Amino acid sequence: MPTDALAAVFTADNLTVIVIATLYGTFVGAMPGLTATMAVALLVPFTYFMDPVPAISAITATTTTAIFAGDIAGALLRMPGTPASAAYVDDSFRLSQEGSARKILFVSLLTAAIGGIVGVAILALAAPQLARFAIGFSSFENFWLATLGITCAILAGSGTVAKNFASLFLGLFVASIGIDVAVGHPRFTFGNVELYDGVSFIPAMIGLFAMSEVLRNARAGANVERLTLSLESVAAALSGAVGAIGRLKRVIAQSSILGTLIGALPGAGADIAAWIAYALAKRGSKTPERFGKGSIEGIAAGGSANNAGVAGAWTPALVFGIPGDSVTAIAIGVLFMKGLTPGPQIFTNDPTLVGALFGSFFVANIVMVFTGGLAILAATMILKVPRTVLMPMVLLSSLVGAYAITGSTLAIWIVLVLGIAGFFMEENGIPMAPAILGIVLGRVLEDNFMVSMMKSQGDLVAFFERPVAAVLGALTLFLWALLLIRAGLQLTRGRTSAHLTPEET
Amino acid sequence: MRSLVSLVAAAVALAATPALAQDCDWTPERAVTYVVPWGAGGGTDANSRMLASLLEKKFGVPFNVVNRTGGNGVTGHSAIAHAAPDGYTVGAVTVEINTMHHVGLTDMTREDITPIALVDIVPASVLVKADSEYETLEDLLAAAKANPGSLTASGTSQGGIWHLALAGLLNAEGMDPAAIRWIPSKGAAPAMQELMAGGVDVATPALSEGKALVEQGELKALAYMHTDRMKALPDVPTTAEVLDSGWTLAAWITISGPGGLPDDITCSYEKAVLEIVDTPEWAEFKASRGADVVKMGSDELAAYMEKSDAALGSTIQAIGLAK
Amino acid sequence: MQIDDRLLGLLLVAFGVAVFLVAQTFPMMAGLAYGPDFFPSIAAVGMIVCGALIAVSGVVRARAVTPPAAAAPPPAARFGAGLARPAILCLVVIAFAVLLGPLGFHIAALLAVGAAALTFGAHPLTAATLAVVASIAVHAVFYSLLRVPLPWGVLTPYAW
Repeated sequence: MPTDALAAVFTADNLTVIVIATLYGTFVGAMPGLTATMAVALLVPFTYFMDPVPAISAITATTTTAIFAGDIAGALLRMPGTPASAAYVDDSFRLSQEGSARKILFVSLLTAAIGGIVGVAILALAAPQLARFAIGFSSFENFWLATLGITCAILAGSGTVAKNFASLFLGLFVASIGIDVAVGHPRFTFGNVELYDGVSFIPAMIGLFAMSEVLRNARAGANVERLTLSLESVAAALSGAVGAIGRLKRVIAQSSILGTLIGALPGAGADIAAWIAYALAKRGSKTPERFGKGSIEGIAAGGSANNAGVAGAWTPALVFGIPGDSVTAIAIGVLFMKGLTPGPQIFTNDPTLVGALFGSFFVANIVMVFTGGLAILAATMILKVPRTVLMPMVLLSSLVGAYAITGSTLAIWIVLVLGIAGFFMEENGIPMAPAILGIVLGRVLEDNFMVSMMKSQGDLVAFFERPVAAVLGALTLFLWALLLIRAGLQLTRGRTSAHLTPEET
Repeated sequence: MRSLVSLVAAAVALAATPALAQDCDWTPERAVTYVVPWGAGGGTDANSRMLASLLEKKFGVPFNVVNRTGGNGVTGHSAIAHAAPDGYTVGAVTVEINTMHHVGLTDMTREDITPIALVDIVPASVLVKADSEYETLEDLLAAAKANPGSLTASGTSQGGIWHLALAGLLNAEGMDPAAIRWIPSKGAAPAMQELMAGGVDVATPALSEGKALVEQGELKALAYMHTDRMKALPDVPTTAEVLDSGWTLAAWITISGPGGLPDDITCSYEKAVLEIVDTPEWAEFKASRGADVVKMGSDELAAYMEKSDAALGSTIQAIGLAK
Repeated sequence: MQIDDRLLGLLLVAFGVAVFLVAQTFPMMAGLAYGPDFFPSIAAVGMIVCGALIAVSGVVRARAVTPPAAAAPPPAARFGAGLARPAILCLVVIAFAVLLGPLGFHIAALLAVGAAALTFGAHPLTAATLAVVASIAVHAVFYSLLRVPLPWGVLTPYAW
């Protein structure tokens, strides 16, 4: 890295901006309904008055910490702050209920930082090459990628195969609400114009997880005092977390690299990265049965992959000026404002800026460990709050958070309907994770399928004509075959051993 | 259509004069909601957020930008149109107010909003990959004429403004509007991704959106659908120069209020916005995006929108998308 | 509330059939092999198949454990039991959604938090205090800090 880039990173101004931005990102990320995109959009007016390096630092530091902070609300209240945290929320919530909230949040924090740093390192070494690969993804490749993501949800699901699929199909149905891409026909909207764009996934997620959790707590017979848990000491939590990470080196490394690569693809993002890494970790795990019921391994995999994905998402934005998500779209706008044009030449024209961007990203991940650590200590205090006080607060902030996303009461209705649905699913052993992924990826899947069909004029062979698409397609079909075999085994075995596998309640 | 653009040019040149009938001294006393019907990170969002931050400075109350996306713009536009006309809700009404009622998405029209001032004019382009065999717009059109339906293009949703740009161009040149097949996309960025990936042959987003990739030599701009060349890309020919029909098409972004916004509120906002577009901050912002500063007050804008509505209506009719 | 797998499966099948039937009414466009009905139909068929599988496995299990299961967890007694408080909370949410616009955020939030706290068995004084504190906190965080335009409703004249 050029020395002037280093100098630009380690100015007092820039470091101050990074510290403030990590605090801000932690705060926004931990609030339900407030997304990293919203956090960054609110930053934009401030960046008008900043120098280029601090402006970019502010954005990178905010997004990195916001994605991590989504884990805090997820672990403590089962309200994943972002879809990227939804993959392993059941694991982290279960473990925090068992009394190791601080430990698993430290695991989240440290793996997030590791994932972020690996992501930046890959970016610094190979951004142009990676971008060149990513830019080759058209609707055919994106379709297979989404299919792969959904397949992973099934592989990672914790219920029976039939119930996993039922959950997924419910999610896919919810995703099909709204105007379709091919004809523009409003589906299942009942004339409500606001539903034309579909069910937005933040209110859906708040409903399925947070609202259903509130309802479950309200049920007569639920243990009212249970949330008042003993908290581990900071030292014990920290050493436990470091120990766990030491044992999970391989999974974290694998998830970080995978997360960066998937994040770099314009059609994917931190959420798909987390799911695929989670499923892959489960396949390679010695204790796959713990996944979905409190697996630190799963938390480490997902937590490192989504932060690596955040770094990866900068690849196409920086190298081609094509944003992979709305955060990088805003960031590109800010770069333009500062007179910088993203593109292959930015690496030769503005090496200082690019170096400073990577440097700030790196520093933000380090600073996050400290600010995030403070946030964990403060946030875990809410476990001491009695349920009668906590649950109404959770309810209100869920509703307002959902409202903040759409700016209309429609979001509150979505929270309610999906909250009730989530409550019933939970009670009957239907896992919610596949439904969430169905909602998030259903649209991506359908849009890319329809667009591909329009391109090829209905010829399905086109899905295998491009080399990358063919590889992804073959991989997906292989996984499906595997799933079918598993389902068949479960069915035949189910006849004899059904009474030995009690449903979770 | 040509006259429409020259009208814009004339109006832009004639720096607008605010209505003088009122005092135009209404000021907001609490936070104002600034509705943007399109997503964060897009051109409308960037322009609106900049304008909102300058309005905030001018009036001393927060201007909160809210992205009310959805329904190809219907959701956000109806949020603007149906808000209480008390001056505490304004929004970025865009060219789609004149297209969505023609394609049957909504009954709402420009009559349901109160135009305040023009914010940006965004002409379309014709982009191909750098290694494409087509060097000029004529090449491309000849190929489309020879093999209708074999080429594909993208840029926005079905019936969206960049679709109209291409289909209208083909129609104006006496060709089948579907001679280049339209592949819908979620916006300009995914469309350019498809173009780069070889998923489609042509993209017709705003030239300002494709400018960076053109400058980097990744894409070729065959045409700029405007009367004058873009200052930032002077080598790109305009459709007015190269096409017999002289076809042009530009999207635009306004700041508008709900229908029935009282005159004193409208002209107070108009005055403020027209002052803002004269500031160096605004000029610098525009330059950074490769765009020109436009200046047009409420009355001219209303007339401009009326003309645009008629022109887009006949285009939509001609290419068979009217419902 | 936990319901029998046989019933759960049938509910899913019924829902799938309904979705499928509605999807068949969507218009097709000439020249398109797959229309707007394609994906919802897949989801619907998926739900029908999964529902059927769940129902069948429920039947299998019920047979496998017939004598003891019939007596052990009395499903009839559990059915619907303890759902009063979740139901009240749903009503609170409905009221919040309906009242948010006309009454404004502050009053709606006060009522919602107060009612929710009472539902969870809080002392009325605690509930009232909590309602005030929560409303102010959410106002400060969402409205003032994060600039979410919360509606003021009847309090509009006093808005800031």
